Amino acid sequence: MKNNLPSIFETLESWRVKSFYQSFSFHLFFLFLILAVTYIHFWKEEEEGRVIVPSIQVDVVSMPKFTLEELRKMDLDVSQDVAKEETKVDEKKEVKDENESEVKPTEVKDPPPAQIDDLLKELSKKKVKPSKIETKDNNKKIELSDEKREQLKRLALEGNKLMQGQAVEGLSDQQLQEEIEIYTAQLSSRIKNFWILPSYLIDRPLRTRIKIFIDGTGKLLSHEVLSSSGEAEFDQRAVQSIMKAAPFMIPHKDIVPRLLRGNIVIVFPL
Amino acid sequence: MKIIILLFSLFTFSFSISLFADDKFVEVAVGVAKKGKDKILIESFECSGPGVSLTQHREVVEIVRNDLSFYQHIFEVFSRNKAEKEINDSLNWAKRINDIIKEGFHFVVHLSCLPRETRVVVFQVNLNKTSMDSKVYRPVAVTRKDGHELSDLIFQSITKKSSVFKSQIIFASTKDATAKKMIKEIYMMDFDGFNLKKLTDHKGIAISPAFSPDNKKIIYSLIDSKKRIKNVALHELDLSTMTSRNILDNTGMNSGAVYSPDGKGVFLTQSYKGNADIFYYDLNTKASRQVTNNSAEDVDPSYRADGKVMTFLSNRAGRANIYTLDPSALEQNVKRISFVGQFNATPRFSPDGSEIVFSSWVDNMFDIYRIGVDGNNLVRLTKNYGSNEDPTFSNDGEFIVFTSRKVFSRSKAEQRIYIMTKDGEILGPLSNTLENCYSPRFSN
Repeated sequence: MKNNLPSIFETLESWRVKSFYQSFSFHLFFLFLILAVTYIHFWKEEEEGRVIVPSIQVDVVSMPKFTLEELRKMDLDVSQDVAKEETKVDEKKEVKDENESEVKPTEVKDPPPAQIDDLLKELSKKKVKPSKIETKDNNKKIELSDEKREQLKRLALEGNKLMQGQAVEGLSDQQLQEEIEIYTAQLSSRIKNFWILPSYLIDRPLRTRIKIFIDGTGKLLSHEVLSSSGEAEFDQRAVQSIMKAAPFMIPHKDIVPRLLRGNIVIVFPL
Repeated sequence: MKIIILLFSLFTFSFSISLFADDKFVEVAVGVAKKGKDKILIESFECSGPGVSLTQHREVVEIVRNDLSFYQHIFEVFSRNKAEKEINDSLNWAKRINDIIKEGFHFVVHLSCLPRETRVVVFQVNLNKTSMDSKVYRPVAVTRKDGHELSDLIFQSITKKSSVFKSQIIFASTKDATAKKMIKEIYMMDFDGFNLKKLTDHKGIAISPAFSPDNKKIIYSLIDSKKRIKNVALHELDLSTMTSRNILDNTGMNSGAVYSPDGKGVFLTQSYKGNADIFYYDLNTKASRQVTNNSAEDVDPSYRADGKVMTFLSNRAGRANIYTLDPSALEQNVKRISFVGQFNATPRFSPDGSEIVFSSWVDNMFDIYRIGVDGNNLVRLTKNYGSNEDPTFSNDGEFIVFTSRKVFSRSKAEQRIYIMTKDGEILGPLSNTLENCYSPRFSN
């Protein structure tokens, strides 16, 4: 009996361990199955791609003021003006070896605050002089006229309360996605100006996809042909149109990591 | 077993990390490319010998150069004259290909003269092969028509499409008018403004000419000054016999006629029922079928090449706007296309049926606009260039001819025919010798 006791314990112990491992494997397998299904679902979405095709909704309320030629010239001038201005931005460190498929995010300093000028320049031919941005000193007392003081007193008494507001810094996931979609749409409009094919290539059903890596200053770091059209000259012209369109607009700081990872793929032509 | 479980766990862990990493990429489409200009080099070799006319060869080469240069929005044309002794070397494409690529040419056109013939060779650089090597007959007296036919052959070899080089333009002009009497006659010229011919001599007011589908006849309206009761009658001119006949003479208006795609009938505006409406008139049976029936005025019919859609002008919504319909039945599938503009006029389909060009009254004058058949993509084509009306597409859809009225003083104004690319790049006037021209129409 004494001799059997250790063997019983040993048996029990080995049975427990065995059960544990079996149970653990079983649970792990189900976890893997759930993750696999979820991954495949997302993977399919990626494979199909969220394709952004630039479009503008224009509600025509009167006959156009500018001719087609004038509009085209304006578009080209804006692209060239923006390109010239952005080459004045200080260059960051050279990042990578072009053969690397993944670009690790480098330390990126905060880019200058996004200016509404960038948007206005898309619409107007006039160069908008950047205005000085006045920063508020919270400790500084705001000097009000007597009239204003009275007005504020009255408002407070009527029940309108002035409170210090709060703002959440940074973008939510949805905002991030929207921001990157806006940026990519702008990229497309910019690159389109340089996307030119000779007559013998223009009617052929060719398609190429090029991944691009952009830093926080809008500088094109590198590119990678994800899928070739099969026609070397077509691919070469696509790459050239990207390089001629660079440098690009300064992106929102929150989307810079994704741009550095090469999350943007340019499709020619679609 | 433990090792397997350990490896499995590590795999699952790393898998879940990658799954939850926010790394969805975004694809963005650039869209259709702009067509770059093809650089063409024309090499002319001036040969000598019996039966070879240098003057004729030079005339032909000059016409080819001018014709290809017409398509300046598609081609950049360069030309070089070379000596006869260089002919054999110039045709050694294998030896020359690198130099040609370095200079950036996409096509090389070789023209050399032989007795009674011009040798034409077209070399396509990207394919590294000749797409054309022919000998074209050169008559004793070279005409511009011979040059245009050679240009068309070269154009087709390069683009695989037909050109405008063999087209004619018909229009009305007041060249014979006097201070006391208004006279308009129908004229015809080549696409480049040369070879002007007067087609009618009614001494009345002939307007709105249009070619038949086979380009052998012309239909137009005439206010005959000899008649006591003046109405706008429909006439047809046979270009082979140069004889004209009255084919429709109903009371009131019979105008703005265009042939149907099969040439068996015409669509036109008639007002004999008391209101201006569009009718189809069968030239053989002489039967009339009403196409529009609205209390408003419906005028200016123009149809798409397949005949299934017609565009016209109507003020049924208050102002003159552009509409389309199915002309096979009365008031079928009527759709309004234009919604802006004080007064829109003369809508005309592009040859591929995707767009309509028209004129519109803006800032006290007319200008030319282009709109998609679905009413989208309204673009302005002319501005600050006089008062521009009566636009019509060329048969290949690359050009638009129109009239432009420029006022020089209180007593002097001219209305000439101009030509521009479909995107509004004005190439220049065509009717230099005629001061007042109206309703230009390209041949088919």
